[in-house]
Amino acid sequence: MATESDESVLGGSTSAERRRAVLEKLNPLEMPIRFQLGLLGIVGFVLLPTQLYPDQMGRPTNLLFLMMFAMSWDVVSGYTGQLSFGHAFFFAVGGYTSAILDLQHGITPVIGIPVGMLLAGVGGLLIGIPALRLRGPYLSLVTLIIPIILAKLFTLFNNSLPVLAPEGLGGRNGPGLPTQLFGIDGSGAVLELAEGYSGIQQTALANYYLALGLMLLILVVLLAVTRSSAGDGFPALREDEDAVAAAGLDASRFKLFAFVLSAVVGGLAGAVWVHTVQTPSPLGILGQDDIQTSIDVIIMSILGGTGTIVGPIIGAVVFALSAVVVGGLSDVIIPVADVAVADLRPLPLLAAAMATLVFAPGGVLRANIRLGRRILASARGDEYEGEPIGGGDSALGQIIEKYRAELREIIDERR
Amino acid sequence: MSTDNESGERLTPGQQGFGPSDGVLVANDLRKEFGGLTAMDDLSFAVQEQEILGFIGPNGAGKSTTFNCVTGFYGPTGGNVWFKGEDVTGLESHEMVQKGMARTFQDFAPLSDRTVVRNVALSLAPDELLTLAGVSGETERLAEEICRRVGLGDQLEETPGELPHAGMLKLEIAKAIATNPDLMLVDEPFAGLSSGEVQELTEVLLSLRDNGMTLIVVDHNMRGLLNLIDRAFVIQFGAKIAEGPPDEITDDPKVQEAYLGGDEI
Repeated sequence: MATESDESVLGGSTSAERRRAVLEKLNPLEMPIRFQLGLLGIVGFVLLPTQLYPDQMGRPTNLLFLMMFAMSWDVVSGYTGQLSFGHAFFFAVGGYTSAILDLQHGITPVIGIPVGMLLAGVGGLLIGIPALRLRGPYLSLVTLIIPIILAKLFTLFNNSLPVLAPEGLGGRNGPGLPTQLFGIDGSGAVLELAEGYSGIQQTALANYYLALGLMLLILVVLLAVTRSSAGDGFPALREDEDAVAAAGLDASRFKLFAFVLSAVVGGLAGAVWVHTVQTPSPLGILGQDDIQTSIDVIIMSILGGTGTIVGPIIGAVVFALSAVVVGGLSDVIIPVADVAVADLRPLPLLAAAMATLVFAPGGVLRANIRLGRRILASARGDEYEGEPIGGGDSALGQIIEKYRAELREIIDERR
Repeated sequence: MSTDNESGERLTPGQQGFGPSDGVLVANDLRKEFGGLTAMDDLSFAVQEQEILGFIGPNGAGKSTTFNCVTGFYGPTGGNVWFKGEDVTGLESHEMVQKGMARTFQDFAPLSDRTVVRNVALSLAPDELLTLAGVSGETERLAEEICRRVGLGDQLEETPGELPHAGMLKLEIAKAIATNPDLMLVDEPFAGLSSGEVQELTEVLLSLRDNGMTLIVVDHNMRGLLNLIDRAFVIQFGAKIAEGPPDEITDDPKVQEAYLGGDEI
């Protein structure tokens, strides 16, 4: 395609213009309100540690990792509509690789983390290539089973996996605690900080800010990829692959790229996770029943808004806040049933996810952007003419529609 | 109609095939079977540069199958397709587009999640995974220009769902133009249009030809195509039954027989 030459015919010197446009978009004063609110949120995250004690930092740090995982899911499932139900597989590949390299081969996490990231990318290829031939429901089944198989492998090679992990994968307990990236003086961490209490304080802060930095880096990369004109093809895949092909774009390549990008991001986050605030074990990474983390990631994305990258971050915040709020209601007893609200966890959250699915399938983010636009419009005295809430055009609606169509095809073939 | 018969016999499959240099797009003995059904029976044709070929046949004649095989949406069971002298048989659809062969869809394939202009912009996107193209809006400007040329200038920011039927057809053509093709296959462009709209679209297609494009226009009847096409190619049951200038082809006995079922040519 000769777009490049056509553009220069129309637009004059494009590279200078492109640079200027990029700079204009980065000026906070010129940004639309929703971007300014986003920046404010980031400032909030930067300032958060000033309000917390070091022993309270674990949860927010973990939350940042969950955000990275949710963004990783959103790239492949939210954007291209290839539903993955076992995304924690990639987090585990990244985490275990780096942990075992450190524990059993003596390789520093500084090298182990990139290797874990690469290996997760290979995992993305291994699932992404068959995914090109598998239709939605089959792909979902495959991805659902994969982390469970992985957990079984951890048990099967409990004591030894020749060459790769001479001391084994550690079964349900995991291979042990790998070298931490940050720690107090004398702890053997990659970067040893001060002694005693101030060392604990600094470690908590270092872990938090590393996670925050990583989260922002992933956010910027994924936003750049999905907001570029090539990223425009991702949501198009969700809708109509023929239309993508008719536009001269290679649908398979884009689908595979989304899988690998997602896996690399998930693997990176997973690898850093085990060297900061998480223990590498099936329960720690894959979650309860080896599937909970994968499900949580999907819930976060749905809550915030699939196919937006930013949505999963907001979804993760809602997810974490609801856990805190519900957990705090230990004195509130539900009459008749005679249970404390706090004991109902995670039921209230699951109910919220279902309510989102029904009432705002576009997610909290889109619903609020629309609400905000309506408020702004009425402040100007106009009538807001946007799409109605809960329209079938939402990303989630499209994903479900695609899934349904594929299911229908499969059923029709059986007849 | 001796000329028609003559050319018809000369081009009968199996007697004398076409070669790669016989036109900008050449199909030779192209065949497609679905299970036991032969949708396309050793079909051969050649299109010359800047020609507008009408590809005509009753419903179910195999027009769409031919279209899909030529553009790479189906792999043919047998035969060859040459495009600009190059063997492109069995290439993937996006590769065909990149080589300069665009198509429109009869049942429309707009992306309902984005505006008209962004639908067109997708066709302008380079087939690269990491690119900054589009950030500064030059792609958008080019897309707007293409929309204006096909008569969608007033509907740039509407979603495809808001467009009238004629608008959807124009959008399909705009999307195809945006891939910068040398050859465009247009599927049923006039279905359901008023005569004014047919006239408008005819002018758009003629101006594309004047700018160097070759066009193949599919329709199940020729009404409306008469002012557009240079040559008609009539098929039935996946095989050619007649070929020639549009005003002569309607008198062809085989063509009349094919349309006896009530369809009007």
